[in-house]
Amino acid sequence: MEHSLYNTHVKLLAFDLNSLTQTSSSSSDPISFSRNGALLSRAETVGTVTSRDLKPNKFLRFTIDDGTGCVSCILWLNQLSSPYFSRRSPPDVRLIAQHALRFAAEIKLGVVARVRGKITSYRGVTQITVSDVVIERDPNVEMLHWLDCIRLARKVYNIIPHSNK
Amino acid sequence: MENVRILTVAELLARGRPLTATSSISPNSNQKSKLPTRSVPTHSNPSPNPNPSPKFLTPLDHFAVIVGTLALPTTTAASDSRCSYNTCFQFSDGSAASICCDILDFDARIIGKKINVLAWNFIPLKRSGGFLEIIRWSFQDSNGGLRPCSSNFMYVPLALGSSTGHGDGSRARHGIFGALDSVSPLSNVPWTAGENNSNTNKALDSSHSSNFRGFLLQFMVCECKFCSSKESVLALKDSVRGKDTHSFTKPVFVYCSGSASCWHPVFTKLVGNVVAFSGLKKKVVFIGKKESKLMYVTTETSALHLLRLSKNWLLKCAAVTKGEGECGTYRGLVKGVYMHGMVVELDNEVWLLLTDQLLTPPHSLRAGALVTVRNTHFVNPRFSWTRMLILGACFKTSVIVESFSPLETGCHVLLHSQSSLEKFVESLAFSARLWYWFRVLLVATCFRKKFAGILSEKEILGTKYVSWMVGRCCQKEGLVQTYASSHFPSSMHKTRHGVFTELCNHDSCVCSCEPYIGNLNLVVPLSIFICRCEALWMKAVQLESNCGNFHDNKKYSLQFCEGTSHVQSVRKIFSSEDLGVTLIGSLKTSPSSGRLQLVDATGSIDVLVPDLPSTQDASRIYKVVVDYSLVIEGMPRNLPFYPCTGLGEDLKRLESETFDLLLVTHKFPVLQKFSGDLVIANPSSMFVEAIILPWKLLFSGSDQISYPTKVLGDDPKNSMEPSPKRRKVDHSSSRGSSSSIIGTSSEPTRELSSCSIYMESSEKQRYCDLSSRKISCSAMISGVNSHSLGSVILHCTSAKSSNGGFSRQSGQKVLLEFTSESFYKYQIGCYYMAKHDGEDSFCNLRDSSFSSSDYIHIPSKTHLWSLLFTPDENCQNSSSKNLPLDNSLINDEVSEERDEVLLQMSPGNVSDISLCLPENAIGFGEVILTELEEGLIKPVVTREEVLMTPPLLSLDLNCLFPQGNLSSLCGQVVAVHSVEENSVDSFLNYQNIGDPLQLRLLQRDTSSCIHVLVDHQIVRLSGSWSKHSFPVGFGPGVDATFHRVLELRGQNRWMLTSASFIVINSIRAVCFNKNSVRVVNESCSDKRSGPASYVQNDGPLDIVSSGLISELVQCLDSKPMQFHCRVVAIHIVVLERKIRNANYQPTDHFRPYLVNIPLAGFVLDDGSSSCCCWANSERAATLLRLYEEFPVSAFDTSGWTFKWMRKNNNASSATVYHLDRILKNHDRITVKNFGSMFESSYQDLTVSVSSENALSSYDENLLKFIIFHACFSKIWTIVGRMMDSNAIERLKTANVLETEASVHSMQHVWAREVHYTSPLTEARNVLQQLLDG
Repeated sequence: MEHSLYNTHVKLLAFDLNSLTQTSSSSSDPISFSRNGALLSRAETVGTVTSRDLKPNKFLRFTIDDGTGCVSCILWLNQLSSPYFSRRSPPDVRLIAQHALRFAAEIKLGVVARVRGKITSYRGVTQITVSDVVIERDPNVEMLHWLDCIRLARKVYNIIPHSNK
Repeated sequence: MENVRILTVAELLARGRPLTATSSISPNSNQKSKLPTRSVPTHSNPSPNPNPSPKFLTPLDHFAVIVGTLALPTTTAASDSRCSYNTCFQFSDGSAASICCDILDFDARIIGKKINVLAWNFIPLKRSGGFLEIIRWSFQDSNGGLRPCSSNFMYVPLALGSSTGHGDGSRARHGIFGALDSVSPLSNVPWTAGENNSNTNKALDSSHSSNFRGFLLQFMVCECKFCSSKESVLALKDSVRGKDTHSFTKPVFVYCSGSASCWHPVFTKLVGNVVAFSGLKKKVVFIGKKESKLMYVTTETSALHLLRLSKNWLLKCAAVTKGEGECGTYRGLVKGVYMHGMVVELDNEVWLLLTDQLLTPPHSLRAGALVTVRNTHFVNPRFSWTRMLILGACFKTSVIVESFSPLETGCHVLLHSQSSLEKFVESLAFSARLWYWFRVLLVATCFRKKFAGILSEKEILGTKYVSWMVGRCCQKEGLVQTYASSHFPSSMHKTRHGVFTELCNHDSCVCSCEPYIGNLNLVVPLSIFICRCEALWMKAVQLESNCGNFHDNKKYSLQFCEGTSHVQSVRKIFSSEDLGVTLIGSLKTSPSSGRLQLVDATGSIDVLVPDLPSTQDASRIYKVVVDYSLVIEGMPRNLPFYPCTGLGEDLKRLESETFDLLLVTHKFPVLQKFSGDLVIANPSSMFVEAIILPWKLLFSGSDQISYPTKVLGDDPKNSMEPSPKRRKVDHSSSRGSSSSIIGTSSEPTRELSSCSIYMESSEKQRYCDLSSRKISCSAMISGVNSHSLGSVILHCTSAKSSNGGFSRQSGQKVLLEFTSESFYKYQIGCYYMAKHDGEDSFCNLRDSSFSSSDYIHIPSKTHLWSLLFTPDENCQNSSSKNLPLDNSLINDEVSEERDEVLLQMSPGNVSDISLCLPENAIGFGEVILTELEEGLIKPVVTREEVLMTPPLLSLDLNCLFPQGNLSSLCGQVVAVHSVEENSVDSFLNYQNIGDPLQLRLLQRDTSSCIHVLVDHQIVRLSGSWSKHSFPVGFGPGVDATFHRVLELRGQNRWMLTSASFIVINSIRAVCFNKNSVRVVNESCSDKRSGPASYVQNDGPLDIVSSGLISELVQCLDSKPMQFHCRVVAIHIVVLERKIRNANYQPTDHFRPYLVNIPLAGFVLDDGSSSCCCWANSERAATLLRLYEEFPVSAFDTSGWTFKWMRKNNNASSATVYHLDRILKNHDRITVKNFGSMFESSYQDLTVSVSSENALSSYDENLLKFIIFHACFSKIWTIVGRMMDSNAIERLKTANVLETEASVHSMQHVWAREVHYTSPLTEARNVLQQLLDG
């Protein structure tokens, strides 16, 4: 399996992202995602926020529609209470929580958001566990994102596995 | 012993070769011989040795014994042609005249007896035939001959032959028992008989004196009852019994005169032994007229009682030698004997100085011998430049050879014909003499080397007898003496006392208590100086590399420019105080580089002279009179210094003359051409552009010229005169504005000027009618020998006059060609005057009708005097120093750095002649400018002020060449590096190039990039200038004016052209401390073009391709690339407080913040891959989003606000404001990420501060917030270059970075340009790419 893209935030269109191969060797192991033989872990997507479901102090679930499909996103807001962050210094956790809250506030229906995060799976459906959100105000960014996705697919994502096989 | 051959002295003399015969030494020898079994020192002498490559003495291949008699030297002073010392043992076998000899195992019984010399060395001597070193001997008859006086004592009567002792035997009943402490040199002492008593008086100044030859012995005796008993001779036996209980503490003097005087060599051998002396009489001796001393004097019956088992008395020496003149004993190996034996090098860095002619070192004091120097003064000069111990010999000192040298090294015999120098030295008191002698030796040695072939030996050392003390007129002092005496306080010239006084008062005053002269500066040959400086440089660099503190010390001086690291040669500046070396030499222009150099016979060094007089003459010898700074930067050796010069005689010629006035507007760089393997400057191609002003200067000549100070003659030595005032830049004022710096540096000139005489009444002179086209003013010679030249008339010639003035209305531009020697004298923006002569080329030019730039060759004989126009009040008040014209040359805002100004060039302030203009003509420059209103020139330029002058040397700017205006730029040089395709590699390759052809090609292709701080902005100048074209001393820290640099149209870039000329205004010490690192790292910067971007405008020249990070791998050619990406995480961010000039007023385009970012590393991601992007300064700030509005809303939602948050103030809403506030309390803050490099929320940020104040948790959180916030940005467009592995390595080493493995595996990019991406433009580009396939 090709790892060169593992730490990269791949720019994939929603249809592409949703059709990633999910593999899991055992039930306890986290699911790994691959596309065309390349192992992926992070992704970036740009689109309109079409749904928003906030569970205060727990998470914000929202959907990004980039025109090719919808990407489910989850933004965790439970940093201050989650045991997952208990090992990190409280001020840092507070900072992260603070940012998450800001992102959550910014995610409003209809805004164009740029979202980066880990590719995860929820009930068999690929989703993005959001690490950061940028609200884009220039409508051209969506177009740029599409073109970028096509270019990257052509020049990088579609090529790498073949070169290694 | 059958093969024993008996050699005669005659045979030895006939051979005339150095010989050794030690093969006869057999183990059964009855003597306690010490044999020279020592191995010859194998380590070579590092210092120049006049006895080069010593050979071993030629051994005889058979036993050879010399049979003869050892005798004491004859008592008569002038004993035929023998050795002049008269203190050597004499050896004679009847075959020839006796020869000098020395003996190792001295036995008092040997004298006068026939001995077999079994092992010996023979050294031929020029005057006395030869010298025999007796290593082992035996009596020919078994009985020693001297009758024993007791079982333990040998009785040795001193009167061997006829007696010339004084007094009667009845008084000779005194005896002493003690340790022989010291023996004075043999000298003639004038004696006068007492008038009314039996005491013998000695008076040095008596006219009725007769000379007695003798010497003084100092014994240390015991004060116990046995010893102080009158019948001391009788008590001797008892004394001996209790010998060990005695404590020899009391000094007693014995004067050996008459027949006893020939016992000098014996006593020298006995120094340190316990002896008894009988048959003495007591005398009161008057030393001079006031002092008297009781001492013993030998008589006919005097006899020595020597212990058979001679027991050395241990002299009390200071346990710890401080080197402050204390007395002691030194034992060491002779490494070299110099200056006729007056300087002996012992071991390593120990120098024995025999400061007096009376001190006669034994002949056996040859290189390779083991000697003991008793009663010598230890002096540690504590030179900054070397470690050494000086052994100063005084009259108490005795040098005893303990083992003869097995080497074939010559004996040194002092010549009694002294040079004037030696005489002079002799006249000094001991400590002065020691120092002086030491210094003179060094100077003389150095001067001989320095000026070999330039000056004759006589010119260096002096010829005739000179008696300094009696004030007799000297015939001809040598250069050495002139130099040395000028450096010696007159207080050191004391009257010498005789041997008696000096020996008797030894401890109290003569030697030990006199202060030794510290702060000795040394004159060394330039080659040695250069070697030493290079060593210093290496050491300094080494030292820095050893302590690799973050930013505080930099092993590598690394310049980042356009993402590529350029290795800068390490520049170090040493002050003359550190070096402790005085520089002397002649000033010449190097034929190879065309640079001005200080030259002596051994080497040369590039110099930058701020006050080079127009009277500079290559045939003169100059001395740097005040502090200088040595700049070492890699290989080129640059040395700026101030010379001392004599000025005056040339200006005598100024009387009753008419002069043309010139204004130098430009100098052209020395044209360099390649000849063979070297870059050869064409000395005939040194051009200066000047304007002939429509003014003439008429010296009335009617006034008497007064010379308040003496005028120096033509003699080279005159140029050695020290300046009456040390010109030193006042450091305290140098920290202020630069105008005060200028003022300070020219102070001496002005001060001296103020004493001149005014020939006209002030009323008359204060105002003048400018319309009359005549300005009457007074002129004076400035400089060291300031004096008034009387009144002069400035006559305007611009109007058509009957005198046939200039043919055109305005001044005429000319191109002057100078010889190389005079080129450096003329400065841009300075006025000069040249004699108006019928045959002079200036006049010829006037009559000619050339249309444009006219060309004049200035022969070397033509002299131009520099001219300074000062307001009339200035002459009297000596207050303001600068005309407005000159002020414009000074960049007064550059002094942001607090570095010490080491050298201040003061253009326009150092002048030969000052013209004091009346008040209404103060702005003489303006007057001239009015005259030149045609727009021909703007003579003096300021930074960024475009010089309207069209290029003089027709650059032929057609479309192929870059176009723009020629301007002048003034600023502080921050960095200089060469521009090549891959600088680091080229630099490394450059080091290895041995092939001169390759080197030449490399040099030819090199172009340079200069980063100059102008108005707090870094401006980049580039051009195909090689390192060799830069003026001496040019480099970081220099405040320079760049004349005629091409301002590229619309690009805000500057280019050095072949007509550009760089003038250094001042040199500052730029240490590579954190402040300067900040500046050095301040890469190519420019005006910011947008609110949140940092763009460099030199883009158009480079075609930047757009690409992906994953494509960087293939992009190894280091071409800059543009990519669109986002920040994922930070690696490291270093924040520093910017030091701001108090006078600085922030401009619109410049942010008034104190935050500086010397280095920041970001992890970028564009969807194809990640990379580590390094940036500094504005680019880093942009990537950190410091200039964007602080996201206060983030805190609103959290309900968690910082107490300091201000929302209303617009200025404080930018993020940088908050950083600014934090940095006020902390000099430097470093934020490092120890967590994930790929996910912002998993960064583990650690904040560290340099100051002792801990960062508050608020501030720490804020900092982290800012870093996090930086990771949530939109898409950046970054233009950057991939960093090569060397650059990364150096970056890491220099900044002590421990890069994480994850970072290490990434590509590294140096960001040159950072701005937000325009989605529409970028989308179009990508679409185009996709369509192109």
